[in-house]
Amino acid sequence: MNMLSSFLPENQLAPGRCFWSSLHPLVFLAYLALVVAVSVMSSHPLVLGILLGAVLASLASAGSFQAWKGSVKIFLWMIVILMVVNTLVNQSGATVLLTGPWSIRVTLENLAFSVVMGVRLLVIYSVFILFNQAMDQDRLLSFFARIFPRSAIMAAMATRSIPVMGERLRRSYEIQRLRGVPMQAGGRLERIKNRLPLMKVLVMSSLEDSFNMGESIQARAYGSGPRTTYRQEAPQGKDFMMAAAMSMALMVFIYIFVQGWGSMQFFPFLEVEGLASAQSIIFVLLALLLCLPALLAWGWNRWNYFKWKI
Amino acid sequence: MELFQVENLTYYYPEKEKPALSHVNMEIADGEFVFLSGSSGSGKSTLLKALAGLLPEYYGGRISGKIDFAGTPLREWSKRQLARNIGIIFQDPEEQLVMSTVEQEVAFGLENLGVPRPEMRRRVAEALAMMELGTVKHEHTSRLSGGMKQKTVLAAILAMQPQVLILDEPTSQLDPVAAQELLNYIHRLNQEWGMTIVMVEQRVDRCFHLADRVVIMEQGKVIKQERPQSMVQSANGYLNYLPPVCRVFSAAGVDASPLTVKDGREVVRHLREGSLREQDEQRQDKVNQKDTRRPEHGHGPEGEVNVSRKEEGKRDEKDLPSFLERGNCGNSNKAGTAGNGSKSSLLEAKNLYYAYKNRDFCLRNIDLQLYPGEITAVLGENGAGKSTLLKSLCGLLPPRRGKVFLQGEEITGRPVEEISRDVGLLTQNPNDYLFNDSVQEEIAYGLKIRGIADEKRVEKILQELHLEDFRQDNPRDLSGGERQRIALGTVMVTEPSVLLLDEPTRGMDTELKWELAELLEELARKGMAVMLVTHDVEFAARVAQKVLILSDGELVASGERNEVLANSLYFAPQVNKVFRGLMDEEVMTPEEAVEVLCALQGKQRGHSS
Repeated sequence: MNMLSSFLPENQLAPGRCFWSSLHPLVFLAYLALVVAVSVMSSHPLVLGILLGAVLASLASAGSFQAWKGSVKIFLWMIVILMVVNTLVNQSGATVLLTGPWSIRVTLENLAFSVVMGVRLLVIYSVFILFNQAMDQDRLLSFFARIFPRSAIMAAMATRSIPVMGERLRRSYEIQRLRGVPMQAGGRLERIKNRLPLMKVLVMSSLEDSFNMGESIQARAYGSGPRTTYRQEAPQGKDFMMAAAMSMALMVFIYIFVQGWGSMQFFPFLEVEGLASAQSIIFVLLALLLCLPALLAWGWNRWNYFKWKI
Repeated sequence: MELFQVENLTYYYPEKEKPALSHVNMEIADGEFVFLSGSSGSGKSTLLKALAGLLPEYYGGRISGKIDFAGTPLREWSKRQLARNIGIIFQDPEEQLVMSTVEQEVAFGLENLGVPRPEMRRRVAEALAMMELGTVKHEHTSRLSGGMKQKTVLAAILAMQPQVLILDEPTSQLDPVAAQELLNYIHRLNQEWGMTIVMVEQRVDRCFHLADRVVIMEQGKVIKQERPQSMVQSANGYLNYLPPVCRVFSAAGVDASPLTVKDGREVVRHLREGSLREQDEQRQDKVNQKDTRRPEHGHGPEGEVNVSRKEEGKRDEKDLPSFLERGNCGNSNKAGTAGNGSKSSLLEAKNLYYAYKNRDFCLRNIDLQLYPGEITAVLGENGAGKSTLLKSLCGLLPPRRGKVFLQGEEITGRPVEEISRDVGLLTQNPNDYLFNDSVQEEIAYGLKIRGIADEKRVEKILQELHLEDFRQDNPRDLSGGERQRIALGTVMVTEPSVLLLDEPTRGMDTELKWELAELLEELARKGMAVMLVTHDVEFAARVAQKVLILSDGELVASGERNEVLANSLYFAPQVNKVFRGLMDEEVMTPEEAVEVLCALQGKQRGHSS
């Protein structure tokens, strides 16, 4: 319930009201793609920390930090579970911290690796929240419908269905309680069992809705031939600034990657080294470049003059 | 000029043995307003989809016969040409909105048609202006009210400038104000633009008189099609498809056939004048006869219509149409109002307040009592707090201030799972209830959860709600009206002493509504207290003994049905509007209206004979 609450209509931003939704769809997507790509390719805690900081700053500048905070709690639990499972199942690592029954060994290396993995997942999750909260879905659909009509409409419908599903989940939850199902009582297993009908209602109703929406879309000639677009998507000053910052961030990351600074060795021994001054400068540069969009957004929100000019 | 020509059209949905449309023949002229009527599952929506070119392209299935549009078979029209010429609007605006903002939604169809940008900008601006959506064009569609959403859908279709507008119950999800506004727009499109309109609508009273032709369907067949006036004049057997005002005049055997309240009032005025004239003449006759012979009976010369009509004008029960024969609501209502003074309430709210998180109070200072055997209707505009009130009473939204008592015992703050044993709530959307594989399992689920094994109770519910033929069917395969009855069954099966219903008649045709009314009356007779939130004033007047009007979270009217509705400007049933100010007593239900009309005519007949 909590996880979906941030996607409810009342918690969503009005499109076109923030810096992020006013960006060219390609530029916004490129920024998100860059963050995800770097987080996947890097295993260095500092790089991942920079990425997380940059995304959180972006979320704050989009006015979506509270929405992220509301939904992240349950996700953090999932990360903790993943980390625990990984620690118990993976026996690698030389520095044993704890031993348990059935030859369970908790190692420092494995624990560190799990934490890094958790941060990486958190970055990707936060990127998804930023996309959902700040992306102008209409512009995205209009832009991509010309190139990938089917995929674009599917993506638009999927994105649009999230708040609807959140609302339906809330209603179904209430109805199950009215029917006498103890949703809060019992052990974890029993609670999962009691909540299974919610998923069934959710899936079946969403399928029905999609079918009905498909009918409406067909009746309005979607996919009947070449489309035109209502909005003219001309890149503006802020798009060029973003593109420049991202290109530089990408080059900096490639440099970090080539230098071997982007990854960390966990097994068999955790290799923790101090940062050389050159390395520190490069990392600071990467942080600045990745945070530049959030800075631009902050200025956009704060000064009308700046907003009009970019 | 005929725009549509339908010949011998038969259609089967995939994997169905029974045709949804069977040998349908009809023609629709350019600029005509056709109103399609019929009971649930009669094939109305299927016919609309066929006319819009969605069958069998979107649904599959088997089709035979012919549909010509503008002289060319419909299947020869390309998808783009069809969309350009035929616009269709469905019931639920939620399922038609694709884009996030109003402006983009209106532009969506034009983008699909490949309309050049300058032309598109002009059309979008015009459609927004016409539907008065300019101020909300940047608004997120999910934040709009139901009425605004449906207006957005209509604007999106109008921007495509179709020749024909097909509407499948477009107001079913709207409150009366929004529904009337939408129907006014539709009427204007027909009158001012000459747009051809084909519409299915359950609110017959609001659109019957607007149509050029009424088409009645039953079991996939067109069984009658006439102009509204002729339909009323030859309505035997079709009374359920007429608006209340037409039904009562027709049922009372009045020669005139009014279509609107205004016409109806005119007829009543004439009848009443005739009746009064007759009384004067009778009085004069008696004065003249005084010298020749003594009066035989003791009744005085001042006999008013309302006093004597029951003896003189009441028609034989056999003459009344089925919908009037079935209920004895007028009588039961009057009986139900008496005697509450001695009863103790089943459910009581004292000084109840509720506010959603970080919001102002949406319910304020609510005091109410629900008594056994009593049906209470709650009326009010959208957002007045009606649904919140029901949720607060059943413990789903515990009051922020004030108390709720069940049979004298305070239940404020108790878990809803516990309260729901005695207080059942049926919420608005039946789909939220349905997840089991069969209707029987769905209804038995509430008992299973509570560890009660009582198959007889499930069987009884299936029979009472006419669901026995569907017991093994998947609830999701059934129609909206049937789903609504299943959801009601899931609440009734636990035999609560208080039943709270939120918009129970949504999506139901007249016949089903009256069946539901009878069922609620039966439950009330057994001692249940029923409270229903509804926009359907006719239904409220039919079943309720008490009526509450909620506005901005406060009770602005509360009392006996006649007392509240008769003084209401807006929440008055159509038949009440016909008689208001013309008769001494308040007329609320079709049954009462027929009695009064029969009495008025009885006087006249007596005189003429």
